[in-house]
Parts: sequence; structure tokens; C-alpha cells
Amino acid sequence: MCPLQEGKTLEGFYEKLYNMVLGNIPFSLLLFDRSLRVVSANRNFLIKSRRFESETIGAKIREVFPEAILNFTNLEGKVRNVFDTGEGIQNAQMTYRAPGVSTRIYYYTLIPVKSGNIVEHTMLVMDDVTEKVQLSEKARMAERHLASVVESANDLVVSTDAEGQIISWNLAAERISGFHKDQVKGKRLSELCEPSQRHNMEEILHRLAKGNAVQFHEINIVSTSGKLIPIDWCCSPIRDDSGNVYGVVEVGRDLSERRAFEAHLLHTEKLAALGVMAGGIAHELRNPLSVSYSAAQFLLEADITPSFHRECAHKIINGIQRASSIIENLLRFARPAPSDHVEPLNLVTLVNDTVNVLAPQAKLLKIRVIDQYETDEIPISGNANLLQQVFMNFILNACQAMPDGGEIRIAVYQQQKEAVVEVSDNGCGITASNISQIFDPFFTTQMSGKGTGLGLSICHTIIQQHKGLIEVDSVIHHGSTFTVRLPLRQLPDVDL
Amino acid sequence: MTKLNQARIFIVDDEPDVCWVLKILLQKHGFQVDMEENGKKALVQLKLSGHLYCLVLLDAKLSDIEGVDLARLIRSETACRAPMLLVSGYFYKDDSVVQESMRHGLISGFVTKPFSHEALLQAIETVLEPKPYP
Repeated sequence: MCPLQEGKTLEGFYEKLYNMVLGNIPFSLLLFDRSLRVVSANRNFLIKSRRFESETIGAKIREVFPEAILNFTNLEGKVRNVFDTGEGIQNAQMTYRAPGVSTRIYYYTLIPVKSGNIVEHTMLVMDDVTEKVQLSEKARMAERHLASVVESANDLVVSTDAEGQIISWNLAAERISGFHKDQVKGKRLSELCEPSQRHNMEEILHRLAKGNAVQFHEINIVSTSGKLIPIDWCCSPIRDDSGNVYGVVEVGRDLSERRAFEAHLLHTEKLAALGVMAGGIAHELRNPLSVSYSAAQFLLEADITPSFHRECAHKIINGIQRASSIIENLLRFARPAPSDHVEPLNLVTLVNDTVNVLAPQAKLLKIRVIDQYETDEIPISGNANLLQQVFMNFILNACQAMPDGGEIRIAVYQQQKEAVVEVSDNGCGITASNISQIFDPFFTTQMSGKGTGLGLSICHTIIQQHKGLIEVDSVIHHGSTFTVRLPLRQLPDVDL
Repeated sequence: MTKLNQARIFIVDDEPDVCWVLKILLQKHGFQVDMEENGKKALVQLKLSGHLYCLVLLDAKLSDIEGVDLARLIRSETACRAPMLLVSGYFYKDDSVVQESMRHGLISGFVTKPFSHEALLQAIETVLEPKPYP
């Protein structure tokens, strides 16, 4: 609407417009003259300060603001300075509390209103930011709380972008890996993993970025000291409001302590098994010792023939050889080896070594051990000590299933890309109700003191670590078969 | 008859070399020796001619039966009343199984493998001398 058509002056129109704008903007406005008296105050100011226009216009700045605020902000001095210098002030802050109203926080600006070079008026613009400040304070608190949750977590909490580059790295991640967050930000998470497992981490992140679900994964990270730390990772995608994946959060649990505990358990189990086998081994050793001892006593007799002399010497030699091979089997088995060492192994030799050390015990229990090895060599990768523990457990369990003697059949063969070991007995079998529990820790049907109940649960853990499977097949009163399937080691391609 | 009875010893041991030792040693000292490698065969032999022997030497751990259990079967299923000596690398002298079997009179003595020939012969002599079976 054109103001001139209304038949009023342009000046009158602008004054009306000015008053309308001033009356409705969400800022408090005050205009001071050079004597620091209020010339104009808008409605917003009057409402917030609970004042009437009549008592405000013409009042001095000292009468409008409480003394405390004036002293604290030096508002009077600042306004005077605007008149003196012609320079305004931007975005200063004041906390103002009108009588009977809760404290408000303002950003204020002082603007010189000039006529020529002379500052005739100074405008005070106050922006009430109380809610904004409170909101951002709340947001900051929530943020701080979340951050402290992440920082206080005992588990590694890492976030990456959709490409797998690290964005955040909590204190636990620093403590466990030794890397400060500044050292890893922008790096790919996979770069911190054990080289042979990097592609696993990449694959997990790739799958998550595509929105696919991922199970728990155990992937080692390499600490600053070069040590491998086993971590159980649980990764989930971070989605934006429209559901697109823009990052991944990786929560990792340090398994070092659990591994150390398991290693300790393994060792304890092994010692317990050695205790069980001690009787068999002693018996087995005493026979060749006895024969050698007797043959030596015959040699001391005066009236022996040269051929008997030779026969005695041979018996002694054989006896000593037998005894030392029993001891060698035992040493092979009992020697503690680091449980995290993975090496190329021949599964047939490994099973055979285990059978050799257990054979005396089986013999004592009137149990015949039949081994069927399809070939001489089946290559796998693994930890010899741990795998021996598994087969030893199967054989000892089979022995316990046959208190009146019987037969254990041990077959080792290759099936497609798997190495398979079967340990079968013709013992008492496992009831259907027990079969689901046999891999649970501490589950045992033995009398207390006879079994810890940890054997098969440890076997399960070990075979899982070797990326294999255990299957059980059992018919009550007819016997059980435990089958282990392990991935074959890829032999270097000899074909050109 | 009595003289023949005293001179014949029956050995049950599954270890051929141990049998070799016992046979040579006992023959050298004037005994006749018969041997079996397991409980089953031993029982067959003793059922037939258990009365011929003056002494039975039993290994404690046989492939099909415990030596002590075999001793019990010999008494219950055969006519053999000869004293029995347990010769074993598995037990030790104050083992409860050994002690109990001796207390009940099931076995008359125990010799640990490896043994000195003197000790074995001494044990045999002790078992045979004081109360020879008729």
C-alpha cells in the first residue's frame, strides 16, 4: 500500500512503521540521548523489565537499570563511550533480573545513531537468549554425559565413517592399544588390526555400510608395543534420519584376560589328565625297566653262553629304547607351549602323538585303540598344544564311557576342504537330555572329584578358535562318536 | 606227586619279555614253568590242570582282566589252591588293593617290577616253605 495515497506525510508514515517494528520485534530496544536519558523504549523492553512507558521515557539510565547491573556491566560508561567515540559495541552479555521475574540473559549491542558526525543518540538492543543459553547448556550436558559414558567404558568404543576411517577413539581404546586418539584419527580401523586379519575387518565394515547385519567377530589388534591383543568386536551401523548408513560404531572387548584364564584352565586340565595317565605311564615304563634289569642280572651270572649273552644285551637295548620312547611321548605332550602360537601342522602326526601318550592308559583300562589314518599327512594350521588337548579329552572321555573295557576307533581323513578326526567308542553313550549340555562349562556326569566338567567346553572353545566344528553322535548303550572338522591349510600351489 | 606239584609254576603275564625273564629264571632254579598271556586262557588251563601247580605268578594288569579279579576266579572256578604271587609294575606294596588282597589271603605275596632276582626267589621261597599246600 502506498502511503501517499492515504494522504498523509511520508515522515508520519515512517514514524508509524518504526513504532510498529519496534513494538513487535523480539528484542528490547532503548534509545538514549546524550544526557543518557531514555528517549524511546519499545514494548518488549517494557514487558521484560515490568515498567510503564510513562516512568521510563525521560528517565536516566541509572533509574532504568538496577545498580548491580550497571556496576557489573559498566553499561553507563559504555553508552557514554559510544557518544564520545562514535564506535558501537557488538554482542556483549548481561544477566538482568527485573523485580519479581526470574533471571534473564541478554546479548546486547550499542549502536550510535548519528546526525552528520555527531552521535545524537545511542540505541541499546538487547536480545533475550535465556532459553537458547539454557538449551545449549542442556545439550552440552547431554553431550558431556554421553562422552563420559563412552570414555568411562571398559570396552573399546570406536566410531568410523562409512569408509572405515576412525572418527572417535575412547580412553579404553587408548589404554588397550597404546595409541592416542590423535594418532589414529583418520586412519582406517583395519590398519590397526593384525595384517592377516585386516581383510576381515574391511569386510565387516563393508557389509555394515551396505546395511547388512554382522555377527560378533574376533579380530586381533596390534598395540604400540607390537603385541597382538584379541578383541571381540560387535559392530553396528549408524544411520541418519532417512535410514542411510553414514558410519559404524565398533565396540570391542579385550579378551586378553579371558585368554589368560583359559590358558590357565587348559594347563590345569592337562595336569589333571597327566595325573590320570600317570598310572598307565608308570606301568608301561616298569615293564621294559623290569626286563632290562633282569637281563642285566643274567649277564652278571658266570655260566652263560655267548648267544644268551647277546640275547640279554638286545633285551636291555630294546627295553631302554621302549622306555625312552614312552618318556618322549610324555614330554611331547606335557611340555607347556604358548597357547596363542599358530603354526603349520600335520594333523595325522598330532593325533598319533596324542594316541601314543594315551595308549598305556587305555591298555590299563582293557581298551583297544584302533587308529585309521587315511594318509600320512593332512595339513592344517593351529596350535598343537591346544588341539592335542581336544583329542586327549575325547579319548579320555571315551575311556570313561567304557569302565569294563572296549574299543576306541580313531579315524583321520580329508573330506573336500576339511580335515576330519573321528573318535568313536562302544561305551555307554550319552542320553538325549545330556547331549545338549555336554559342551556347557562344569557339566559333568562324573562323581565329584572325578571330572571338572570343563573338558568339552574347553574343546569347544579351542575348535571354535581354529574355525572348526565339533559334532557329536551318540546312541545310548552303543557308544558315541565325536567328530572334529577343521579347515585344511592351503598349501602353496605347486602347479606352474 | 607232591614233589612234582612243588616244582611246577604257572605264570600269567601279557608282556612276552617279562615271560621270557620269568621262564629262564625259574627254570634255572629247578622249576617247571607254564605260561598264559591273558585271564581267559589262564582260566582254561587252570580248570584243566590247576592242581598241578605249586605257585601262580599273576601280573596285576592283564589285557582282559585285573590280576586280583583273576585270582578270585581261579579260587572260585578252578581246583587250583596253590598260593598266588602278584608281580606288578602298577601297584606299590602298601597299595590298598594289594594290602586287602593279602589280608584276605587271596594272594600270598607281592613283588614290584622291576625286581631283583634274589627278591623274587626269596618271595617264592617264603610262600612255598612255611605252609606248603597239600
